[in-house]
Amino acid sequence: MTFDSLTFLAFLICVYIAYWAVSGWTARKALLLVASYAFYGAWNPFFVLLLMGTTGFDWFAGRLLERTEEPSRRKLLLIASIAVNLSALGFFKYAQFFTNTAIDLARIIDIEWKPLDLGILLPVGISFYTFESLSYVIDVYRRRIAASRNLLDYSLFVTFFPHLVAGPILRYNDFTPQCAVAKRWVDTALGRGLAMFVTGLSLKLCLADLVFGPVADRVFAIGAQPTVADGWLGATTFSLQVYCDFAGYTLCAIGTALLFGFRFPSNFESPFGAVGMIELWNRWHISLTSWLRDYVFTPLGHYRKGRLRGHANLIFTFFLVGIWHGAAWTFVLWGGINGVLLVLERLFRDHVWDFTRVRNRGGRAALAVATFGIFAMEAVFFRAATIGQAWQILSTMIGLRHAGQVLLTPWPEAEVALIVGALVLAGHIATTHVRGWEWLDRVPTWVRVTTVTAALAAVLFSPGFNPAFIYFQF
Amino acid sequence: MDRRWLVAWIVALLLAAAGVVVFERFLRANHYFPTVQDDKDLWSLQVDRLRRDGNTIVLLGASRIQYAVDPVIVGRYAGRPSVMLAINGAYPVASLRYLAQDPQFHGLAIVGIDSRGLSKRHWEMQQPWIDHYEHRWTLAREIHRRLLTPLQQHLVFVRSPFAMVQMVRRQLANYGLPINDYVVLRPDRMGELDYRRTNVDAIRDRRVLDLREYYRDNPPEPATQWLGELSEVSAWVRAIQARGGQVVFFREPSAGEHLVLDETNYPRDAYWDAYARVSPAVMIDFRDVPAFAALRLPDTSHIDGSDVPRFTRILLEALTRKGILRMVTNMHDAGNLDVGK
Repeated sequence: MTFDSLTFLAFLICVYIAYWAVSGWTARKALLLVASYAFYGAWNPFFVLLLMGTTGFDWFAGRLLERTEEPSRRKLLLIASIAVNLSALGFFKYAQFFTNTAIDLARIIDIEWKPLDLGILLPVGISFYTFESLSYVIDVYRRRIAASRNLLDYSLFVTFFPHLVAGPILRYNDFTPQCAVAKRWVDTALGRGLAMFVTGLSLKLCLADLVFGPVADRVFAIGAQPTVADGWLGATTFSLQVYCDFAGYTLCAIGTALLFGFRFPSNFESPFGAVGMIELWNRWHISLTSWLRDYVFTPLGHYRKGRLRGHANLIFTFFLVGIWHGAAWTFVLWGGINGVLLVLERLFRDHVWDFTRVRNRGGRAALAVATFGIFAMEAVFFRAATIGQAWQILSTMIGLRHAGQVLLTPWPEAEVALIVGALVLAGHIATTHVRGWEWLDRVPTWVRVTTVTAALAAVLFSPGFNPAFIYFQF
Repeated sequence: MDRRWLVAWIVALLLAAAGVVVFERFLRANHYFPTVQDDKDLWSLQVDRLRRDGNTIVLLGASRIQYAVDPVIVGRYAGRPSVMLAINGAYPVASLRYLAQDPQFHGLAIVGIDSRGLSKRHWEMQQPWIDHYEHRWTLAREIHRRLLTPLQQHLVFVRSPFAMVQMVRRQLANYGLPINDYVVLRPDRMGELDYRRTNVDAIRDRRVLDLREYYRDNPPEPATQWLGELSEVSAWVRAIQARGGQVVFFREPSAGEHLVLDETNYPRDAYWDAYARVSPAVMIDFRDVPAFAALRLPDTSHIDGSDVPRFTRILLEALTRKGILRMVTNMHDAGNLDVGK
């Protein structure tokens, strides 16, 4: 069930009415949990059992960890929990990838194996809820949080439907304290929640699917031979598409949670207004990057064990970012390139010019556009079907290949995408100082009317074929 | 709700509602009309119907079946469920294979196809629809589709050609408004063409030109190769027959230069008739059923919606004569049923 479907609209109305009609806080939370399982089961009912199983296992592991004092037993419990979680993720997400890679490697030494289709279906959102469970168990192990005594609250933390399939990736301490206090309808930010939901939908339905998606699809179509301009247009529109798709989903998730009285952390904060890739990654998919910082980069030693080791840690962390996004070599390479770029940026800022100190608005805007250009170039690996195709487009963009046939540049699709893309970029550059969403409650009424009307119109007048949210596949 | 948000939402909803009314009236004033929009979900709903009864009559093919044979009339005539799985613009061999691989199917497959469509290069055209049903069709999608259909039946602006972004693009390119559609599609995926709504001469010329270009770019394979590759199709037919099912290949009517081009490239005696001699399926060519000759084909390959009941009856009578179908409802009654337009 996706946020942009009529099924979700009907589901949301039913759950909302039932939630506020039920008296008793525990009953309400139980209702949300049942609704969340129904939401998840609408994709594949069997995977609800997987979700219940991993949730129950981690809750139990947390309880045991808290009760156990002996360090070696605690470590064993932690390893068992991590192994179970990563095994499920590894099997469903990466088994086919490793099989294909083994077949390709065997071919190098002249062993021919037939392609093998394992027929494994990927449970939607497994990467997201696995990371949430892992953070909980690790934090209990580190004694940073107390283990949950309430299975209902813990299950709701993992399963609450707005964030279940594509984040934001919650931390136990962000969410569970909110379960302690009964919500009152009068206290909920209904107007803001609905506004965020509709705005998120408009980003997805209008901008991602209709403005940017078709342009990127043409450039990245198999067999296409784009020109230099087409290549740049395809790479930039794909970057904007993936932003509008994922940030749109996140906005819907935050808005939906608000309708039930829950608050989620922000996941995107004007990433294309960033100056430099380090800042961009601090503003893009914040819940994932902060997770990797806390549970991978910092435990590896951060930069505490020397510069060289720090650089290696950074590259390794972004290698994980790549493989988290998808079981394909294009994603691995994309993650690796990001890691290397971050290291290069650090070196450049340390030894040549720390461009983040630029205070001039025009200068910062130019640097933000340049940063966006770099992000778009590496996004080619994210979108391309193969490394070969990625290199073909990238080498065209930087002038290493002769231009192919003109695909887009004289087309109205390109004109609309360019105009809207420039507006999105300008909007990000102008709002880099804005954090979170509380400010929405302070804007004047006419701004609210304009925004909500525009978002509603964009949703109503963007009927289409509703391609799935890009991040569902991760 | 915060008072300022309440005001904002009331004003925004009123403005959006006004926008919808104005846009809908504008579209209707320009002779657009509401119709169901076909997609893979609507097709999947029909596959679900097929899955409920293996003895169903399945209508396979492309537009010439989807816009010509009424499954309601077929179902009432034969006293069995009938589903429309034909897909506009896609030849149906993949769907026939899908039926052959379904151990529950023991019904009748009426496959609208010509020699070009039987060529191996066109076998996979409907496979994406099957993949969608097998891998992406869920309860959530079904509910969405069931809610969307009545909206499309009553409102023009909820169809994708009228998306705001598309309209802006058309204006930028000086294309004007979207081309007026002339297909009225029913929720059961049967469509009726209304040639009064369009420029039939332009459509006919375009269709013939496209076909000419197609044959220029894709010359037919030798008849021996074409025939040899059909042994696989024959095996699928036999698989259905082994379960008690039946398969009919029906070469739908075409006329004018369209028919000439088809005959020039795939001469009937070397292709269609050659396969008819060895095929385990019943094969019907429209030229062997004189009643089809009386039907008008305004664009050389499709009939007008008003001729659908007549076309369906002619086909059913031909199938009855071949011993494929048995009439359980009087033909006159079957053809005049309220088909829920």
